[in-house]
Amino acid sequence: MKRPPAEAYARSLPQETTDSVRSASVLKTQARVDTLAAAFDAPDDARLQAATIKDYVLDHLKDLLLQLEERCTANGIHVHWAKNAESARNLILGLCQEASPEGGVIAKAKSMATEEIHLNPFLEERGFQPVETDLGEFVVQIDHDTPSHIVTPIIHKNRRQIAESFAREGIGEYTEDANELAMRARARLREDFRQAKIGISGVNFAIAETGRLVLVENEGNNRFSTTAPDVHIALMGIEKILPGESDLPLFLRLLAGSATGQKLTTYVHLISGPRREDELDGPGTVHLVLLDNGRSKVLNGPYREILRCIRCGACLNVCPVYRQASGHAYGHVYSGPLGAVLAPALEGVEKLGHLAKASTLCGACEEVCPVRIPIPSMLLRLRDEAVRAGAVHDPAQWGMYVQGATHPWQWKAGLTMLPMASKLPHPMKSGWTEFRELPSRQGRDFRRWWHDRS
Amino acid sequence: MTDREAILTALPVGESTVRPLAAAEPQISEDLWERFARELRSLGGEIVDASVVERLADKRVWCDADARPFLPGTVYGTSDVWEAEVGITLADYAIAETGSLVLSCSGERARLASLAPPIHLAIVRRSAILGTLEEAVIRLSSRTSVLVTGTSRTADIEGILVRGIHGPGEVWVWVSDE
Repeated sequence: MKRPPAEAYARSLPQETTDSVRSASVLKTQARVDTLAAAFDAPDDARLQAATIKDYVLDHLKDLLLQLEERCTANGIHVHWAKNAESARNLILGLCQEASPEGGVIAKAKSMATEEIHLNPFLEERGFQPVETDLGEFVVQIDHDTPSHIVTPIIHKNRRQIAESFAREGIGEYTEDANELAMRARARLREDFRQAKIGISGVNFAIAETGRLVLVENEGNNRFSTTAPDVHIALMGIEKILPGESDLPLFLRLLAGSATGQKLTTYVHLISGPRREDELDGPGTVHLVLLDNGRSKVLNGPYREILRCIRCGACLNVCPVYRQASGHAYGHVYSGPLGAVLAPALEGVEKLGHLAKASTLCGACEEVCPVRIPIPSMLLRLRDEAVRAGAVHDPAQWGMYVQGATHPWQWKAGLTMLPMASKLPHPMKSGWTEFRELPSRQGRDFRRWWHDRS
Repeated sequence: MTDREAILTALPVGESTVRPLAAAEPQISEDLWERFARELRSLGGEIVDASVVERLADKRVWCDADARPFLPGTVYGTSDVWEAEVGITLADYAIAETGSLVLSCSGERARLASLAPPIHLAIVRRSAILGTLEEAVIRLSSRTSVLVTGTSRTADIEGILVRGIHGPGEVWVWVSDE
């Protein structure tokens, strides 16, 4: 029997991976609760407010994008539009070739949008050397792995595995000391920051009123990547707009609190454009690439609210399926409950609708979501669409049930046959009997008892 | 059709909803500098005083031009911010709520001064304390700015907190009465 891929993957995971993912997610979930409770008198009101603001953005996205384009241009930021991943990759390649015809090192700040369009391999094949500078993403890159979490990319790795990767790559002697490993990465990546002519980043919030790009982070690699190189290229999904800077405090608190349980991330970088003539440093050129890649389609459909998402990862951390299966089980850049909706919404239910099965519908994701996305009801809808599209094998064979339940004589005939069913080989049972015995029938037939009860 | 036209055409004309008001601002009832100091210390930062000059004696120091009047001329030695051990900046504001510093760049201030050196010394005027993020956001410089809240940090390896991964592992704040 065909299993949902997430389930198969979870079964194949080594225990230490499951342990890493689970303990880290549990810690983050608790830190999130504590921080948000301290930051807001009424955290639920704050979440509702944030949802309302994001809905306003989605309602007015066209006007806000045009306003953002105008203000960014006035600030000296070059604005580009990319309708899909291919278009974005080619556009960014062109900008890179213009900045550095001979190729070379690109300082990459962590960005899910660049993961979404699979930018790194594309640039590597064309003579550039994009270096991931976030510690977690750096480990992912040297391991030729992919991030398993949108905020903490190596949540699936433990210290020993990271130590082995460093030793294998010749980044010093073997050590499991987290501080020492981090300092070695610092020294190595510092050289890349000095050398890179190009820095590529994502964007957390773009402010339509002022044309300012807001990037949040804790390490400082994002600031380096967007400050030291001559050219900064920022890639953002078109939904990442906020109307004004007065909206920022709420979102900054919610994002930091929900993602890592901090009051505020260490750095909130507010980029107003390239280095001005009198300024001492900063990139001479800043490009902003606005990426659609399916978003305008999602905006017109039933999963519109998923575009409120600010990529905090709280729904991943709290999800019992994510905790057990880890992000790679979803087989997509966006994992967890968010990914189970966003991935099929962006790329099609036929292709990725099966992800909607990777959920227990417990509702925890909606409870923690800082912008109150109704993920469980979206997952239900997706399941229905996925079955209709034939994207999901129906393991319970509800079709048979529907047939019986709507045709009484067939139902009765079926019941008469049922006592024999436990003795027959049947593909329906194999998932169950792989690990246990099917119990034999106990006691009397209910209908007969009902009939005879007086 | 250009990508720009394709995207703009695909976007629906949404309902014309009214722009929601910004969320309510948190109230800070305690002394603002006390709150700032508490938040900063909880993030691994340190409040220092004029005696900090002694700690700079044997170090390579980058000092932004507008921070120099606060310090004796002997402390600012290096002209290469990448090689400096200490970066000294004058902050626009301090935010009590979060223990943050508001730094903007200018002709006198390098963006890298608060980032590249392992130690960041920020000077803040006593009058430049703000209560909340909201108060800071409406006062932001129109130039590229950064809110700095504690030390550079990562918890990517098993959730273990490591300070100073790329940016400064030490943040010193000197509140000046000048």
